[in-house]
Amino acid sequence: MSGSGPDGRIRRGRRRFAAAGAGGAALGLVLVLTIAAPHLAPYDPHQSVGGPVSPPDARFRLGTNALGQDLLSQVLYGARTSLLLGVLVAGASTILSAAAGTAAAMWEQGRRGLLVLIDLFLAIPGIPVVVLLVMFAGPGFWPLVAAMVLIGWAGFARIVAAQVRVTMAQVYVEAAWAAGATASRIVHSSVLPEIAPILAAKFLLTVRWAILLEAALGLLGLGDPARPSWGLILHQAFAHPLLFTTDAWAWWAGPPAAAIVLTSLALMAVGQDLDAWLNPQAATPR
Amino acid sequence: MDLGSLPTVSAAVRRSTRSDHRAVALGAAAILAAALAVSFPPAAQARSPAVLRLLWWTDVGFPTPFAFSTVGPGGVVRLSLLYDTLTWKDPQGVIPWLAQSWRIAPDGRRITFALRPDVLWHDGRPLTARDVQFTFEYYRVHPFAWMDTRIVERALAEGLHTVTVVLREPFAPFLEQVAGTVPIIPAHVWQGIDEPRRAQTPAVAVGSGPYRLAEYRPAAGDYRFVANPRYFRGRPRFDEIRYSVLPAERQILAVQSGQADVAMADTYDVVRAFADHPYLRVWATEPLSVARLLFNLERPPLDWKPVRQAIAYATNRMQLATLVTRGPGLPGSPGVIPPGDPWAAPNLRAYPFDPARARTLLAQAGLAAPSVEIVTSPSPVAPLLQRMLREVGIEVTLRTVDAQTRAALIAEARFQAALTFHIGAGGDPDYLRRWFVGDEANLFGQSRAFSHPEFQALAAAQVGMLDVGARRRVVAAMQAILAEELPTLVLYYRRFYWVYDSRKFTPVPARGGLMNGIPLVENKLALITPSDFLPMR
Amino acid sequence: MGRRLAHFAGLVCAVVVLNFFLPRLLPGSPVAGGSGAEAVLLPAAAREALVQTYHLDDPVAVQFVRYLAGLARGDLGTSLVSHRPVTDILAERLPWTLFLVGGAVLLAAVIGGLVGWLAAWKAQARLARAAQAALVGVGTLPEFLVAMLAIVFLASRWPLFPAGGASTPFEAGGSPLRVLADVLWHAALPGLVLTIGFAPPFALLVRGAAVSVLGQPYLVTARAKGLPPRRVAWHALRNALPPVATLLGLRLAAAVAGAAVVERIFAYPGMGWLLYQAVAARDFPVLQGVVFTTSLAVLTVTLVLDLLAAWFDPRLAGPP
Repeated sequence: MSGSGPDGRIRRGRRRFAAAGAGGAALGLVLVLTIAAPHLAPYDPHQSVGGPVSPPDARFRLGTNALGQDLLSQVLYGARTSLLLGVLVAGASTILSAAAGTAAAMWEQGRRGLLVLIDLFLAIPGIPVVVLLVMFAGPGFWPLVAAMVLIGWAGFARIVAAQVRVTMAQVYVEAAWAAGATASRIVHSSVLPEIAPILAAKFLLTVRWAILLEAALGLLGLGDPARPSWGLILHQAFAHPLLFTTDAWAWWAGPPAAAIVLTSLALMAVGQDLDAWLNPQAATPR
Repeated sequence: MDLGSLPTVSAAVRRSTRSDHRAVALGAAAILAAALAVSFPPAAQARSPAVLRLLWWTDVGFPTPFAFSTVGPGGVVRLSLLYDTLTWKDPQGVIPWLAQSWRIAPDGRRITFALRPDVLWHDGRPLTARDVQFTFEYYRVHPFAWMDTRIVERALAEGLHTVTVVLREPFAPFLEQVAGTVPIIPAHVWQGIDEPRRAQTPAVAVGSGPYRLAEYRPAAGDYRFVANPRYFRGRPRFDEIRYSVLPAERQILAVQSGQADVAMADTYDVVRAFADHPYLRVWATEPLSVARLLFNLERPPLDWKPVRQAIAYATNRMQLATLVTRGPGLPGSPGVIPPGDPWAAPNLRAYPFDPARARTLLAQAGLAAPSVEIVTSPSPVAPLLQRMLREVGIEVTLRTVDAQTRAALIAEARFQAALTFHIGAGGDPDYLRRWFVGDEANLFGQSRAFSHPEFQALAAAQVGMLDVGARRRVVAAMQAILAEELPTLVLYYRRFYWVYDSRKFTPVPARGGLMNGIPLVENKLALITPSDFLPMR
Repeated sequence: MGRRLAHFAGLVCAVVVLNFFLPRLLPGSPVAGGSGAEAVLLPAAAREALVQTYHLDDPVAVQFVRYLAGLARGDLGTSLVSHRPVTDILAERLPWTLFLVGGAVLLAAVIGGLVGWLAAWKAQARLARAAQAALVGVGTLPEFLVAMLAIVFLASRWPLFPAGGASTPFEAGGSPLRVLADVLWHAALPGLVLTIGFAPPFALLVRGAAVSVLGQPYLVTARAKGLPPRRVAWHALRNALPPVATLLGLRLAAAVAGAAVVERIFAYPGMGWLLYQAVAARDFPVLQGVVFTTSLAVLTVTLVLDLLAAWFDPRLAGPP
């Protein structure tokens, strides 16, 4: 993608680098906090250590929640759940879309079936499927991951399929076929390098999507109550009947919301720029 | 909690027994009339047009006894504003309503009600004994979804305003739980309707209650009730009552910002939050809701009494109650009936928080580290409980499911332990029978599991006992068995806290909750004026 | 064409089958349970009556045949909770959802498209780029958060807008204009939240498409030679139109499903909230009705877009 002239391109490139760099730095910070959570958290996030809903003070830097649990510790540990969920969902659904997309483009016999499957998953509304699956398996970490993977792969599989078809039509790939190369070799040597960049972008954007969706589902009461996550902290805050009658909304819901927004912006900056830089034509996946 | 604005109860009325119903009726009504007159100064009555705006978190269906939603108690309570029952409850207990008096035959099976002669249906026709007879006949074919009426063998109209209800067997809870819950319906409306659930037109929404249905918007869950000026029991206090839907967590905010008049919370902190408010007050209900752990007595290791008792010793129920309700906690009693309820037995076996004792019990049973799976709906209580039990070496895994799934797992006995929350722990103590050996036991997972012959015999005996003293002793014995055997462990009791605009509205409690233990605020006694509130002879 | 239709028909059949059987795998039944954390019990007689009326104890195969027969007549069954025909319930909810979510999609397309177009056309203008950056930035905020903030500030602290609902209840007797104003007033906050979420993809899409045309060598040359800006703009716009139309079509189709989170927060009587309630109460007929309607809408729009694309550009014809 270019601006209106050669130097426009460079300027924009630098700006992009700056945005992606800032995003990367923010992500790095969140990651460090996540890994170091046990050392940084002042309390056990599950233990009731103070009075219920007490505002921030010297003992509890971010205050306590309805059960008197330390919010700072909860936010730190919550990062682990939220990020782990995001990475797992993104990883699994990216692999699934890559596999399904590649197969739909390369495997003649299975192609129709795969396309029907992809279209089916695109047709059935996503959130209802998640609600249904999570209610089926019980609100918990793994059911949530499974449900999100299930609705997160189909749209992107189509894009991968289109890209792989373009690659397959390249002269050098046709030559390789003719020379008797195996499918797995062609995937390795030609297809993967072509789709790797869009897969990377899809991965990052899906991490973001999963973190946001987890928080939104938490609001519908579909989170895992035994495992603090940013979504769960928000859910508990919003479930508090007096949240908005005092300034509790600011210090209780504020930090996890800020954490979500920061991570989301960072992932967006890195992911979208990666996507736009490597693959200007592809539509932005969710 | 703030009960200051409520009428104080006269000791004289507390003393009276149910043996002389007319005395109760007279006394209760007189006290109530006086109390209401005190709590509603004439200045407040001058306001008009008065609209009371109430909130609920969901639509509750078309308000007839057949189409209303049973997903929560909201539907059946709303019904009570449009329909009347033979009896009702005030702060002291059962009072006459459509029936101005009743006589119970010595065999306990025949109850003759004398109906008020001056009751009109919303369409202007008189309500007669024939309607009462029709009601019970019709419910036999098309059951009322909130309360079983199968105990009624038949109802016989004996003249225009006298009706005799014949029970299959003597049934002590009848006056409160059946006569006080089942709406009387107009024969001339429902006659000939074969699918009453689908009959959802204004033409069938005809009751005799203080308000009548003016508008209902199912998609939004909005209801508008308007005053029935010819109401037999007094002039409706409000010209209109409006219900609208708002997510539960925003209801208090709506009352605070003046967008609604009454809202509910389930934690004590609202009492503190509004302690100094110029006109918002908080009314706390009786502790009618229980949070309890069910044990499947057929699945090891919970088939062992020592393990259940160890769990009881290991749970700091006071701490749990205080944490979760954010106020003065009401820890669960092993006898299930909330302490303070007139039916609660004293001197039950207690299980004070004692982790050492729990460990000893487990060691004696040869189970140093038993593992238990607890089925629970999403709740902050479950992880707290998990930690408490781990402290004594019980390895707890939580299986978090939604309410429907939990109900299914419990009904099919596919669980070891389950955490459940429900209302109904108030009023007539027959719920001990229903929860543990009766029909509802199935859904509470205990019909197959709690096969305790002595408990079953006592449960069957108490239900027919009309002598309160004798029944109280049997119910106490039942509680002693529950406390010893622990088929369930009540963790804590919950009150509901209603924040209301005291310039507009003053709650009137019903003893043991509305109908069968419902902790809701819209008691129709609070929604009519006392003007015509003197008992008829 | 024929193959596309066959593909479409196959998908519809698959949706019907999945739609019937998947919800029934859920444990729990419409006659027991309660909602949220609270357990509610129905008396046995009432339970039996419900089971009898709605044939809930028939074999699943029999129920499926009955469901298909109803479907053929356009009958989606009766709600097990409110006992009303599902088609009536959908007919009440669908207009609200189409109005709110569909309206937000259209608004987002217009606003997002304009911003994206400006960002491409006036690539040097700081304002245009800032507008685009701001739109995308705000768009990354989670919608529930924007919704809560909107409620705190615009419905409570400064009560400019209603806190929930789709219209002021029972304000009968107003002129149509007043009713419309009231409905718009109620839709303002949820509509704002949704529009913010929907707009960025349109902006990015339009800018991307426009920029790729503006950067084409022939157009650069043409501009250098003095081609009127209006013709250049027209070129770029035409190039941007197909992908925007596709996104718009898909988003509008998806709008039929409603927006569960925003609808719940604002107590808006739409399809998303209906579906959530139906799952929670195991109200299978309503659940099926919502999923069926939604899926059918998405499939139909996809088919129409495919056919249109093939008609515009025959090279795209062939297997989907």
